[in-house]
Amino acid sequence: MKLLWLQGASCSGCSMNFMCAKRPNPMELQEQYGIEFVFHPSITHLSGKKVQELLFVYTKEPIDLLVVEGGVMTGPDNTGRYHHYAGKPFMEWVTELSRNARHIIAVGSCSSFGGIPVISPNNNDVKGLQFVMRKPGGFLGEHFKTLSGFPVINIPGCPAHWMNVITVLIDICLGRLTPKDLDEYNRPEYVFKDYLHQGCPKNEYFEYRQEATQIGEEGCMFENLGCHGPLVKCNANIHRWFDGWGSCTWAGFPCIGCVSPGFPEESFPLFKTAKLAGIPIKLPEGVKKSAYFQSKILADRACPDRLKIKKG
Amino acid sequence: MSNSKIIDIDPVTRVEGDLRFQARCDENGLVTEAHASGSMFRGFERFLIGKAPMDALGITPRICGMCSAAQSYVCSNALRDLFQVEMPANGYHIKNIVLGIENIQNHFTHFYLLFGPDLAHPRYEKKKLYQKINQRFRINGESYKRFITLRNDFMNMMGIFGGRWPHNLAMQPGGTSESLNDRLRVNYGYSHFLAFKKGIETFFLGCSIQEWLKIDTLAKLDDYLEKQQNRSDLSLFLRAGIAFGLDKLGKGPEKYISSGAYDLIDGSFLFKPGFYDGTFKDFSHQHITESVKYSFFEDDEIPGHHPFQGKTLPDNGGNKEKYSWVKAPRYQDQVVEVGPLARMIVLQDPLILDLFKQNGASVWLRVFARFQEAIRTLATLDEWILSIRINAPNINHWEEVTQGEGVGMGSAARGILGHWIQVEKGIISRYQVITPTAINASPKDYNHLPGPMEMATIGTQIQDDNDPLELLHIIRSYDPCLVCSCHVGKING
Repeated sequence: MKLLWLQGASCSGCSMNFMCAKRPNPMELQEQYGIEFVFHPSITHLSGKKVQELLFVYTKEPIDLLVVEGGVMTGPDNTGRYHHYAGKPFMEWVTELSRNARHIIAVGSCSSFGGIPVISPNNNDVKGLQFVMRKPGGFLGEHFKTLSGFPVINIPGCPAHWMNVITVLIDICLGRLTPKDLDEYNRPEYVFKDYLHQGCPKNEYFEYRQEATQIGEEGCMFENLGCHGPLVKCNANIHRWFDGWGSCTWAGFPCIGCVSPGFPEESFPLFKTAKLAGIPIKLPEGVKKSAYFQSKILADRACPDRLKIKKG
Repeated sequence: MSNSKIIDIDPVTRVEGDLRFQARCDENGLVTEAHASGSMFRGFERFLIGKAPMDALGITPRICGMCSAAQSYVCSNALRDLFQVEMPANGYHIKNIVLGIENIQNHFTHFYLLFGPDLAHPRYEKKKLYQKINQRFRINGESYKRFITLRNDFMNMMGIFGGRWPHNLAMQPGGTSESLNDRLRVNYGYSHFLAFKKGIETFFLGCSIQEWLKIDTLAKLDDYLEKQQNRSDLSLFLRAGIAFGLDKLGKGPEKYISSGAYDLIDGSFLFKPGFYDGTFKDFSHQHITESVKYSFFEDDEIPGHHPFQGKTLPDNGGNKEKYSWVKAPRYQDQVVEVGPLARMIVLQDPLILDLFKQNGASVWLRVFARFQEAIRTLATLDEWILSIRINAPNINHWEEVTQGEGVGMGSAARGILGHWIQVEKGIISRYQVITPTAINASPKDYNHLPGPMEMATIGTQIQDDNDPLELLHIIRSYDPCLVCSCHVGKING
């Protein structure tokens, strides 16, 4: 399968993390699954006109896998002048290449939902491919489908975890992914099923409501430090990063919800939990406020001494 | 540029971000004028206005996926300055380790993935060392592949000390967030470090780092090259680079600034700050001014101003003189280069300085200085890891302020990085960032002086208009990262 990778309004971080892939690494992806990179801005011999010619080919011929990293910049006034690439506004390449793509994969929160550059006032008019935050539509429109009948497949994350990207590429390659596997935000449901809370090393503190008030302190970060662990679907505490050595909460800082369609706008202010009458306004999905409150009172009471946070 | 004989590289690939490069040549094929155009604009500083100061810590690393830790480092420094909080010793060590991992990784990645493959260009086929070069340095060549494996193991350290990469929040104003009272993690981190160091010594240097750092003159370098017989990647590059003429290409402004790299607890730096223009002088960020004469922004009343006074609006596209989303930072109105070469010269690294004094700057020396910095950083990383005190604090508590300002300076892989924050009524009223590539890949300024990278191409003989390899060597030798530079446009200051 031929893969073509474009970078829109991005920081290249998803590519950087993708390069950290261990097994299969990008080279093995070709050896093992026959996924061939026909173009990636950082892995190519071509430059200048030759890139334009190559991209032009795939505006006429089908491409199996079109990966887009970064949002589509449409400003100012829908001219796309804020992002020029390979001879014309970047957004025109997206329009032309998407018509001939069998699958389009939005790698990272920016191409999925707009991500960082859509922070208000979004004065550059950046769009995700089929969403702007939670709102369907985006650059290609709500009803857009690729040649094989899929919407854009979203693999959010800031950056997207290479494991999630690669597993979806493999599944497409083996013909195992169907449009039914996607959730309401067009994410493969089997990848974005669990909450970050699963596998968090601070879970025991959460259980007994031992809540940290400062970063670097032992304790759960949900009630005071704005941790989105129980609020967003992210497998980074299950698979973790770098051979299992890291994740946000493993390194002691709160999740800021970077995989969420509402990221980052819905996460502000970072490192602070919005509360009403001492209870976080956003509670774990499906949990009732009164039940949460009661369970936490009991939890606090049940807390063994060894877990109690030493204050001061 | 409207003349007929124009080379237009759009896009330049194997750089980070979107760069277009145009060069005008005379009838002899010599470059007479060059335009580096950053071709994307995001306006990061705009979305920081109105946010809580700590929000900057989550947003600014996302300016750049390559130097994300450097952005964190500098942002946390700016916030530390704003909140006036001291860091414990572990905080310094761990921040420097995380930044060090990123920079070292960036330096080698630049060579193996971005710069090196050009040496395997068919144009050099007839040259003596081509066989070896092609076998090792081409895309998916032996060394290319080996480096990726080595790098990806090394990056496990980033998991241990930073949690993830890019974009971690481990670096905080008062120190770092990990609970490293887990001895296992530190020990395994060290082990990953040692494995990487061994790999670099075996394949890259062909000798131990200690032995390498004893080479401090051109004469000793010649001995090393003689002994290596092109076995190590470094020796092969150094010899082939000269054989291919890279030592006579891309001189640049030969004036350098560094804001200092890796803060140490006593207030000094591992690589000291300074300004070199033929003699060594002190550096102050007060001397940095920015010009927008050739950038896609509305002209200022003041032609060049310090970033703190910046008031800039994207223009309407009508002015055909303008060609880049990158502004033109200058130091005391002079065109200066930043990056590892600048840092090694300002540091007066004996070997790099000797080579510079004998033969001047070039693509070859710029790449070599990047290696030299990476190796010196590797040597020190060792000490930092061993200096971490288990069970001692990594972080101090701070009180947020509702009014004030802070400056953070630091060194990303590609050169100096500065963040300036101003806070009023508890929210950010102004945030300014200057990135290294904004300096190196800048367009002309209000004095019509070309930016460092543009300057480095002027006078270059282009062999083949349709395949301007010389230009690509020069551009890539700067390791440009347009992702940073153009994303950091300012609106309404």
